[in-house]
Amino acid sequence: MLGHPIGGTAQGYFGRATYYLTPTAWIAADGRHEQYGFDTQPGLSTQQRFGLEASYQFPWRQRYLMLRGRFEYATLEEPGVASEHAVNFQLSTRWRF
Amino acid sequence: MCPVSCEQIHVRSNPLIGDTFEADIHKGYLKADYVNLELAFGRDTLFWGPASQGDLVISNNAPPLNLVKFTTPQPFRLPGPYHDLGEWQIAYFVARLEAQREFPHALLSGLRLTYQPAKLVKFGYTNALQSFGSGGVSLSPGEYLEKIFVPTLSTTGRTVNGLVAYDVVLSVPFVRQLRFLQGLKLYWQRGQDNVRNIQGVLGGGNIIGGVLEGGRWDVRFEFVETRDAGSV
Repeated sequence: MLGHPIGGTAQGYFGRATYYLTPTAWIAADGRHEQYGFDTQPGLSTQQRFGLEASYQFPWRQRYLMLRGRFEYATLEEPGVASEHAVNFQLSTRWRF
Repeated sequence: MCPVSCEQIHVRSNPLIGDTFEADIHKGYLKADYVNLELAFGRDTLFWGPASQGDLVISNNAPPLNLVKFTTPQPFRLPGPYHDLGEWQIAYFVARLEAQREFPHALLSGLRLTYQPAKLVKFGYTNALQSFGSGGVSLSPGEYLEKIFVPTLSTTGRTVNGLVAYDVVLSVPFVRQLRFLQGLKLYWQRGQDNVRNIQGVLGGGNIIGGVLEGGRWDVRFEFVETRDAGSV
């Protein structure tokens, strides 16, 4: 599946707030609470993710360079398995010419 | 014609997948546009629908696709007597999927239509199907055209895999009279898989959400559910 997992018996809540410092620069915070395994496993799996994100677009002649970063903390709880915690950092650039 | 090329470099480290460190270029494409028609070729992420990360069919939850994409970037009106019906937008793509899957190099095709009859309401329709590839179902041009426009939800077993979703975006007039809530939009999308029976609180895969835009800020909240147990 490419979109949300249709057929995956999942349920989730998502919230996000974004503040635009300029039209081309913004910061955001988001949180997600998802549960999997309804009707298909004895207990539910629960994943939570909390992220901070920022994006900035550098002006450069007629072209531009965009820099984007995301810091994320995630937890995963599955039946019979110790809780897992993860820290994920993503940095991406985009250059359009 | 205005050719454009775009690339994205992605750096990632994630302890859940074994303390790996990755650096790769994972998006790049060429675009050509003329009037309000745009043709893109390359590897790109698709992001359709009103929800935060795309809809129940096509979202940025998947890796970028190797695709050819045709879109109308700006809404347009039909000519002649149909001009006042409202604004329309079309997007269509064909992507070649990877080799390591049930049907290697299958083709994924998708179509999205949006129709906005009035300023405060917008309807969307997304349909996607997987066909062809090694061992996959081959379609004649006529069959392909029919399936890309009309979802086939009654097929079973080893046949064409398809997903369809319908959505509506509303701006509520009486709420907009409140200054703080002027930028409020509510949306609901319902999705359906053609080879599984889907059942949920609202009868299928659903995204229900709202976004409040305040000029220099916005706030969004979403509820998503998918079910496949029992009959529809």
